[in-house]
Amino acid sequence: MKIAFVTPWFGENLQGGAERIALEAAQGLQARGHDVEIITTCSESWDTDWYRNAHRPGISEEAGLPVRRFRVDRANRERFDAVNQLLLETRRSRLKPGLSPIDERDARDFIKHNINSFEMGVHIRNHAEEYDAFIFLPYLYGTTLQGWRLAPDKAILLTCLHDEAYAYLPRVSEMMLGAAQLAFNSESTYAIARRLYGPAIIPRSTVVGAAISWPQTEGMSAEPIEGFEPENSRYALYLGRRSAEKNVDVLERAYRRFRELASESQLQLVSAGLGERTSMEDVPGIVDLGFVSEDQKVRLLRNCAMLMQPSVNESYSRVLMEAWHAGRPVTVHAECPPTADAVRETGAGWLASDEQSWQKIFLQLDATSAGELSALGARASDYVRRYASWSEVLDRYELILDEVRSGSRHASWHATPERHAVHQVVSHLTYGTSEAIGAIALRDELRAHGFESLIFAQDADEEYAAEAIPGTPPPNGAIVLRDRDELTPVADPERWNLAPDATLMNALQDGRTNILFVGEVDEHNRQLDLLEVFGHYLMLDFNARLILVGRIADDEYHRRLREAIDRTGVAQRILLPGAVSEAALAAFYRTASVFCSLSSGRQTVGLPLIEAMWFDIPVCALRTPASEALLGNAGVLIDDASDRLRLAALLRVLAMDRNVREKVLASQQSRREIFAPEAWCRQVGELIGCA
Amino acid sequence: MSDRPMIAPTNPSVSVDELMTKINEQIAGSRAASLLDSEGVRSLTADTVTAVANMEAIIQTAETMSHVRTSWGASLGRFPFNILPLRAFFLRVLAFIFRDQRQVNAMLIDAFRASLELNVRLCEQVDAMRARLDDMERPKRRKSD
Repeated sequence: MKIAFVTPWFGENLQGGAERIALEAAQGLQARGHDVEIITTCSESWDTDWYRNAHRPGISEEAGLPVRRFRVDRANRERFDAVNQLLLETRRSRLKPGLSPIDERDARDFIKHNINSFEMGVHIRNHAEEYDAFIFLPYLYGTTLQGWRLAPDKAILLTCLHDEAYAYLPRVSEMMLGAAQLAFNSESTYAIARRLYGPAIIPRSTVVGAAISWPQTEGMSAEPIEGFEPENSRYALYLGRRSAEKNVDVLERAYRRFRELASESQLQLVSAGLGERTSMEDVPGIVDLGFVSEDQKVRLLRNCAMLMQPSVNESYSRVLMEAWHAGRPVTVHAECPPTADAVRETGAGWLASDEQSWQKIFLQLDATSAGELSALGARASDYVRRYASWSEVLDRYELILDEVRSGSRHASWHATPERHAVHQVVSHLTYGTSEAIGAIALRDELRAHGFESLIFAQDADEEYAAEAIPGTPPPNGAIVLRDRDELTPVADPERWNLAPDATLMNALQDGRTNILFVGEVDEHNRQLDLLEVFGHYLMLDFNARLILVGRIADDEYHRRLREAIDRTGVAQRILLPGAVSEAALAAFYRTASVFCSLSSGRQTVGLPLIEAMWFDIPVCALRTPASEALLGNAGVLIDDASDRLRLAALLRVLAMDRNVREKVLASQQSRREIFAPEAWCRQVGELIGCA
Repeated sequence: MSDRPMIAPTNPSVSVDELMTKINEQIAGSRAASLLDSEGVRSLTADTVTAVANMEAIIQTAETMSHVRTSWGASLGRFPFNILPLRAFFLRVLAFIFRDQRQVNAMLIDAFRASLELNVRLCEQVDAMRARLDDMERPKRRKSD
């Protein structure tokens, strides 16, 4: 298989995380027999002038790999820096999924004056057929943001995603929704991506991990490093670039306060890496070693008491994995999900956030014995094997590459001359109903397999006028499906490959808890009961909103509901928008805190329950045969909704309690796979006798 | 309300007992919800419950705003208000000037809260009396039929 890694900078000695991943993954795939090439620019590195062509253009061999370099485009550095500064200064609290943190002109200029190479683009476009896949990384540079469009069906984004302002740019969102495959280096970054870009990315996403290479330790020098002897010292270690956004200054101030309290302590704080030198060299115990070699880094890691990673901007901290590989525990920033979640999962370290908590960590570390620290570090050994071993990681790369090469999930069966047409007959194609959505999905699936497929309906809502044909199918030997009950309901997350309504996204992300129900306004869906529950919910959390989406099926019930809402005195907290567009519905799902259904009877709301699971919304539903069949052992089913106050409290727990929420979402994540496109594809094949 | 357990034990990853404990904690953590959960106050209409929630929210907001101000508003982060000693001085002056007003506010909040509780209990008693009246009226109506 011919594979190209596309990255803005490349070099055997470059230390950046993305550059290391590109180098090591490319070497690993090459060792497995793939034809691997690096496509990069002539720019030297991230920390030099981006727009200067330091390397010669053309093909060369570096680190055993063919490297194809292209000249970088000229750009307006001042303009880029100004926009970049705007993005860097955007407070995290102002970042909202589905909304750009900067205006359109600034967003355009961010990409235009980023690191780009027109020549590289021409090469990708003109030679796309010669490659099986292009692996673009990292996500926020021009070579990726512009390059993926030139071969979208072969584009794999090795995202290296962070929860930062860049990730909220519309062009980044477009890229995540448009590329053939997405690869994430941790579960946590994948969760960030689902939150930012919605469920449409799920069928094309894989957590590959990011392996580490550990040098042989035999024969390593035991010479002091800049006068420092790791083997004979007790120290906390910071490894990485020294800059303000990495929070190294917070760490050092915390250490200084710790020393003020424990002046006799032997515990030192050692830092090593490129960047600004420490301004606290005069503080006893602070040691700044500057840049160290790989061997020296390994010695520092193996002998440290604990690794400290105070940065909140990490998508996957290599040094964290390296510390765990060396059996050492870590302390990471509690508000950096990729690292904090890994620590929570393994229990192989501690969490800290502000300066005071880092100071407490130093005190705690000082009081913990070496044996206890080793036992703490050892807890991550399984995790390291799973996510940081090259053999496992490369297996996952190859799976993604196979998917890109095969091109589609529709490859298993196809139309034949004998079976070439499958039509459906429905009485009415009603906008937004699960029957209509299912019929359209089935038609599209059949067409993707090469069948001729039409929907015949006596009548159709205006929105579906183009989807349905009046009358009955012609008697030309086609298979006619009249009853789709045999099929599991389908909820293809790809249906949400669209931009959610921006106005709603803005309005609904105002800090209020959004309680959502989607289903037609009808007696059996019991929206009036939900309203009562919401009244009780306001006792527990007045900062909440109830959203009842769905077409009006019963005018009389709708009138009663409207009157009841007016009587509450908090009508502005209750939205009853009727039938809405797909973009609006996406916005309601994307911003919901909890989904609650009290539907009863045979016609229990079906599709929205599954869609809520795809959108990672905790689901609470009244137990009926239908809801139990859909939710199975996921979500929370209730047998009795008469205690409104306790039901309201349950919704609040599902919306707010991190622990419960995570468990419920994990159960829903495995349950929803039953309704995934792959399972649907198999069923359709069986239904028409092709599978 | 029935005696059936509310939550069906269908999700093995979620302990129903743990969930019920958290639910009861949520209710105990809210004064208004605790009041509604107390004996004899469980059958208020949805409209009354929402109205109570609305008033409780107003009380909570008033309570939050009535505390002594210890930080400076974001809109006053300009010169000369961003000079730290000056800022601390202004905050002390404000605390001193409005000391009496704060006491008045605190008493009003307590009085309003007590009045709300009284109203809730009165509503409940009215509902109970109405129900008893309906029961008494029913045989008379049947006789007249």
